[in-house]
Amino acid sequence: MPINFKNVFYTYSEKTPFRHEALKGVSLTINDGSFTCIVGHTGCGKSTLIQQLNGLLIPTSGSVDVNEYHIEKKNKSLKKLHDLRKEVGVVFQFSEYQLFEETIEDDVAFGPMNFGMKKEDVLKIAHECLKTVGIPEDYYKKSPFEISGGEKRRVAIAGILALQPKTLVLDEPTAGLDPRGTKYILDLFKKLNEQGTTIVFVTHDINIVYEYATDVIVMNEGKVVLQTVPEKLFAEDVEQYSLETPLIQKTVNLLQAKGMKLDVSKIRSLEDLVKEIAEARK
Amino acid sequence: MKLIEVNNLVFSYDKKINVVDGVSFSVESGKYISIIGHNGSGKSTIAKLLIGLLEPSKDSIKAFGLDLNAKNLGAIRSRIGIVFQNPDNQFVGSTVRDDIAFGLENRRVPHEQMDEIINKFAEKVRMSEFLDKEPENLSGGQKQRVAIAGILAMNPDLIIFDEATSMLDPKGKREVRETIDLMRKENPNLSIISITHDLEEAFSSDEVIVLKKGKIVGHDKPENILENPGIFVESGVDLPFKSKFVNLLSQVGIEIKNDESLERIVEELCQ
Repeated sequence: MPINFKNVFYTYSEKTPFRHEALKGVSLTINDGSFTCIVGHTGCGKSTLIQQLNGLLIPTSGSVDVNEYHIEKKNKSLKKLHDLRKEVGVVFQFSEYQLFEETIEDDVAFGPMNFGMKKEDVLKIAHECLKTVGIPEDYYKKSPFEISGGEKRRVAIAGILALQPKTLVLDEPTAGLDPRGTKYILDLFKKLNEQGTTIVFVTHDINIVYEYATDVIVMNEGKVVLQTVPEKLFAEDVEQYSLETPLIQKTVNLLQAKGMKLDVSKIRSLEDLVKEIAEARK
Repeated sequence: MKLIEVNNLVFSYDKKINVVDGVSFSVESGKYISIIGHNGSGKSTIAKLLIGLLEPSKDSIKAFGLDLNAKNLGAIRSRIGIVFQNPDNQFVGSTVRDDIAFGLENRRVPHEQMDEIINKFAEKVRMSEFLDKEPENLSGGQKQRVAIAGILAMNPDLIIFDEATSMLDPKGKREVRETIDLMRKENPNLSIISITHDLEEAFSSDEVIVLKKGKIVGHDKPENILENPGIFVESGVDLPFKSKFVNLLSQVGIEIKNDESLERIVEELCQ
């Protein structure tokens, strides 16, 4: 079942001088099995939005539907939220700061343990998830504080994967990673997506949207200004939404302006673009 | 004049693996140097060694003609500023004004002079209208600019940026980059060491140092370092978009003669 937001408002510190309205009537749909990217400037409400997805924040008004769970202010039940959190895993920004256990495997096992699974079963899952994110076996008993930043990030992601969520929500998971680390985890999310996990991906990097997204949501000042597919978004001038034009798109635009005929529908990566250029020049 | 001389610098956290493994380079007055490399290549460790947050191997770092050791540390630190990655971890004041004042207070600058200095540097980073704002009301880019103002107020000879833009959105990154350009224009003697993953940023500097597993595998002007793209692939950093594009074209038999700009490449492709 898709995720549906119906006219969601969210206000921080209501009835105080610090009152801040972060979401102002958000309605959107996140399709099952999609790779949905959410883009927009710092402070546009992206992070507030994703915290509604597993009930960390409850809408001030309006409602959120995630599978069979209906989240609404008058209808919040802790038991239900507990179950919902098994289905929707959220990886926060700079998730490596959340590592705390003595060993890497215990850190990954922490989530499922709290959902009442047995330690042996949990460790099996933890090892599988660490393998998925490419952490070698001789690391399992190491302290999570001894490894590099990129590795820590992957351990934190494994900790969420261990909950085996149907929907994986990621807040800027590639920020601060080197290009190789970035590519590694992007390809990992793509693979998980192909295996059926819905990916909700918050990013500032418009190039990621170009290469990976199936759906895209553009936010500005607490509102959804556009929900569409990347092909349609990039066919327009994206700078009107204060987004930058992806470098591949910029090249395509320049080539087309010079009269080169390109089949844009086939271009998702730089490799595709070069292939199309070679084709067009024949 | 050489501000910093690093000579065969070695550092290990666990006494087993050398995170920094025989690094030598120097920084001339007024130069802007970028250090790039994969996560764990030793970039940030070098930054911490340069300001003595970590203890360097003996006689391996000379700053402003002084050996970097416990005795000279105070004198050296007073001339180097550092901006860290996380904007929230380095905002110490309760308002922008207090934050810029922090360093001045530590230097016992008389109160009467402080306001003038604060106003001057807040203006330089274009934060004048935010002087009484609290950090909660600022964006990441604005917080980083306040950090820069606080450092500029100390009148340093060298500023180190340790991935100072990596947590910012594209707008914040641009703001910080513009601030760096501006401050170099105003003070041509100011030296900068920037540790970054952002290649467009690295290639706007005077020299690029490429690190791999604690060793320098390339050190040259940006335009020269690109002549050997192998270095980048080996050391786990990406090539700039333009170079990647030209390389891929060459693989399918399209040779580009002039890769000065994307526009020029496109022009050649459409001939």
